[in-house]
Amino acid sequence: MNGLGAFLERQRELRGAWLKALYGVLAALVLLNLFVGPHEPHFGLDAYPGFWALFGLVVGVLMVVIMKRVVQPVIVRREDHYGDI
Amino acid sequence: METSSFIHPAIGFLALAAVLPFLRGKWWNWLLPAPAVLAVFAVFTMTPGDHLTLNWLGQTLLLGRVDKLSLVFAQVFAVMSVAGMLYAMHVKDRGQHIAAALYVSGGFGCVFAGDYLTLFVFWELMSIGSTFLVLLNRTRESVLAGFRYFLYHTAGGLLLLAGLLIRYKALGTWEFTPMAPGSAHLYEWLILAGFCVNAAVVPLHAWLPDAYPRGTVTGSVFMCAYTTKTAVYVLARGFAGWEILAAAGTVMAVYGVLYACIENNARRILSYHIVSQVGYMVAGIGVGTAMTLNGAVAHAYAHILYKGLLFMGTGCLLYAAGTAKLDKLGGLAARLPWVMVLYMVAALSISGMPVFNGFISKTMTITGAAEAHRTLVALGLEIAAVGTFISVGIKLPYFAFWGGKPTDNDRVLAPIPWNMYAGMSVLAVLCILQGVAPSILYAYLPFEVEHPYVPWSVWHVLQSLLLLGFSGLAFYLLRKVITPHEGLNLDVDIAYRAVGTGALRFVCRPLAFLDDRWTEAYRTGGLRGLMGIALGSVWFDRRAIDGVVDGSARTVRGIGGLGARTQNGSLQDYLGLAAFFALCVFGLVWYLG
Repeated sequence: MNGLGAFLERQRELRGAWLKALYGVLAALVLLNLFVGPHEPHFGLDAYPGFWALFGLVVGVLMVVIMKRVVQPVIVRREDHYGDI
Repeated sequence: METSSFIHPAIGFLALAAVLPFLRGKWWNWLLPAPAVLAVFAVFTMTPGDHLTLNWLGQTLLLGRVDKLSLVFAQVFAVMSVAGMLYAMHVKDRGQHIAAALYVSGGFGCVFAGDYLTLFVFWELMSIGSTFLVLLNRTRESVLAGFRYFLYHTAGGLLLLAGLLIRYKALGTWEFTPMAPGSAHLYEWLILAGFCVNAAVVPLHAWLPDAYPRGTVTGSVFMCAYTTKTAVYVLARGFAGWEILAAAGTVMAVYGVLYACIENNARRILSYHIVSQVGYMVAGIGVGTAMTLNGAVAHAYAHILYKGLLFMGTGCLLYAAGTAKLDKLGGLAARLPWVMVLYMVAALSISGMPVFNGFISKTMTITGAAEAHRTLVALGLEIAAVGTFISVGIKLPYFAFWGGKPTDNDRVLAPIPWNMYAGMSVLAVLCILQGVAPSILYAYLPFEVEHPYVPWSVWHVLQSLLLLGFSGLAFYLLRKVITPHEGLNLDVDIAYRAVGTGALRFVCRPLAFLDDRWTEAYRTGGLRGLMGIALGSVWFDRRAIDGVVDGSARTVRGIGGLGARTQNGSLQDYLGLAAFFALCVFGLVWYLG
């Protein structure tokens, strides 16, 4: 295992710290959004601070839940459904 | 007309394809990047204008239309071919290199084509070359997928051919010029449909996620760059401002990410993301302002670089671990760390993370759409951006390299050759360079805008980080839900498979019936008569002909044997032969013209 591989291996044990860092960065971004906004909001609502954060979170959650829990169960078949594998 | 300042970049690749079968020794693979380097040189030295005209059947063909639009596409095609050829250098199978070379030369031919006839010839050359890049993976799965791919692209090519013939009849010209938006001639719609097949516009897209995951490791790297982007180029040239493309592109952008969200095969996830990313470009072309057109071109450029790198990264996984299915991978970060890092450069690029090149191209199209008051288009593209980061930016690398599994020390990994890393490094460096210094890319954009777009503003950076950061959070919260599982997700290819099976029955059943009857009639009637004739001729043969004929019979058997060998019933060989003869004819015309 080379240097980079060993470094990545060590990071596995620091999961908690990385997660805290992520939450910290996200909070900082929203805080910054209170002071920095778009010159010309494109959708109206995006003038409000936190819009894009909420947009990313809500669209992401809806997309994953709807596609994995509602759509996929309907359209999924066995891997060799067409008999060409 | 100045011709000395134009070397057609396709020449080198055609020459490579022609000499490769005859080279001996082990060092021929060092020749592979040569035509690519020549192409880069050619693109950076050629002067704008019309070059290389050719008279054929009383028509004047233009093989070298050089302007800003063709130059920027040719430039990225050339750069990509260097990386792609480097990445493929270790492959011993010459057939793959020949197919790739023909395919790439087809791409260049299309980009510089000034008329529809030239465009069509190179369009079909691409189709044949890419079919071989799927077939040469040499599994049953790939051969069947390659066959479907070829049928589908032949159908698309015929739409284009019908369109351009009707157009010639109506206008009396083959010239490839912009079509006025909204004019509703049949030929324009036919040509548009032919282009849309190759651009993988939903619902004509299903060939792409069907074939690309089944191509060879190095072949798919080429395919992901050229077919759809050549289609984007011809759409940008011919159909800028066509309203229907704005809607189609937005649908593509969202549709692709939705399917990628539930896919398990890494290369199929990336394939659906080609549909999605090309959607940004098609939407930009449809909106048709100078800014969105520039955005489409910039995005095509950036996309070729990072998508090539993405396919290279997943190609490394497939090469080393023997599978690209996420449920079979995991725990590989510490064992393939550089593959992971190089993949992540591309993953962050496609997601539009600041510092990487997707950030400077994607935001340009979205901002352009919003400034043209196309709110729905812009909104669709933002939704697609969220899905892109979740699927390609996090899901794929997370489940391939970590997946909540301990480091997989037991798996036997094939060592990855240096040249694969070299090809990936070239693209990774370019992705970051363009992201940090957008002018490297913007300098080549073809359309004049009043207010140049500035991606690196505090707000653009903050907005991107907010959007991506919180979609990342959505992934983290739902990582147990999004876990990929084995399975096939039905797509619209269910329709064309049904058409294919139906057509096969329609043709085969009556033929089989006729064949049965014929065999029966032959056995009862024909055979008896034949036996009588045979007895007579045996007598005649023994007495008279033996001595005379023996010599010529040997000759005939020899020719018959050759004929039988060429007609061995495998589609690959027929295709190859057809392409070979087509090339010979084209070469002859070129020479005689």
